[in-house]
Amino acid sequence: MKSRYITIVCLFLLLIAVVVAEQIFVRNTIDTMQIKVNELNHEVQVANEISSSNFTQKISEIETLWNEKEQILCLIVNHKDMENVGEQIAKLKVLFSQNDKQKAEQELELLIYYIDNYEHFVSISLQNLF
Amino acid sequence: MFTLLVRCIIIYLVVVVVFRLMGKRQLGQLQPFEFVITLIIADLATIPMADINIPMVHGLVPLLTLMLLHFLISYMARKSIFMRKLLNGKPVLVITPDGINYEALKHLNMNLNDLNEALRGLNYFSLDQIDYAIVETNGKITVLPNCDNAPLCASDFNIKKENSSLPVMLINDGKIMKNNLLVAKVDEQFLYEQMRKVGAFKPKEVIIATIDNNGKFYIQIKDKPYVIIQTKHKMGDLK
Repeated sequence: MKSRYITIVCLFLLLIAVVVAEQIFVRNTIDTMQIKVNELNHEVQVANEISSSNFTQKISEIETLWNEKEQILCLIVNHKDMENVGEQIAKLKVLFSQNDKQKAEQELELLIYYIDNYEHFVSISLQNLF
Repeated sequence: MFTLLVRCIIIYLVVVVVFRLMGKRQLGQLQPFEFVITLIIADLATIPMADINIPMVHGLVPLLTLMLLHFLISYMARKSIFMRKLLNGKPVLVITPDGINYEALKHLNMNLNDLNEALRGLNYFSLDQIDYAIVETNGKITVLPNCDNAPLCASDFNIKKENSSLPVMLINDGKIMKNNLLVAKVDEQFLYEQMRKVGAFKPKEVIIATIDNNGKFYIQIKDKPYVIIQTKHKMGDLK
């Protein structure tokens, strides 16, 4: 009986640890992505040309960061919910190389929307609870 | 496909562990709250098993949470009579010496056919055989027959019988159960002596050997009928 109680307490602590770790990891990922994408969005808006290596490098950095985080995120988040962000980044890479500023701005807005939406979806809130 | 296979194995093992930790009750013995948890667990387990887009954690976390909830509710039901009544309900008398308690039946959403069917299942074909029938909290019906229909026992004839005893398995399918030897307070030498009496020299030759509190030694050798040996050994403290 005692060992059963120990198992239960361990499981309870494990669940708490998983929930806390998930929240910390997801929050950090979203915050970093938001900062990077907003920075890029701001730079795109003021720039005349977006085909320069600076933009290509920045979107590649975002892509690398997302790919890294995605490896762990897919363990805790529905894979379908993560597809949109990856798709938008791939589209932006093409648009930057084609110097299509107008389209790139639209796609960046959409990327920001997906990340924000994702934040609402995973955060602990009354709306999510009920 | 391989992912599905691995997921299936992991989730199956987790569900088995969860049910094992939850206790040994059979489906028909479940209390209402246990039944609900069992249904939900069965459903939850299939979600990440079938859809690889859903992380396995989405199935495992609710599964473990439900198990913890089950422990919490069981604990409360064990400690508080009020909680026990709230969660499990209470047994209801549906037949008294005056006859069927129709109000109680209505309250239980049972009809007379259900009651009769359950009683027939317990080998009572006539209502006048029964003094009391109780619908237990797990939905089973228990019956106290009237004195004319109650089974006779030794005390009715003032016969003194030896206390019933619990057999302990000493050899199980050719293997000596060493822990049970300690429980039965016998040693291997005693076991071999009994085996030799029936012509067996190795445990491998024996299918089963048991001994009870009264020293009754039951042994069956492969391809031979069983033999009972009355030994002088008395354990006495097995209940």
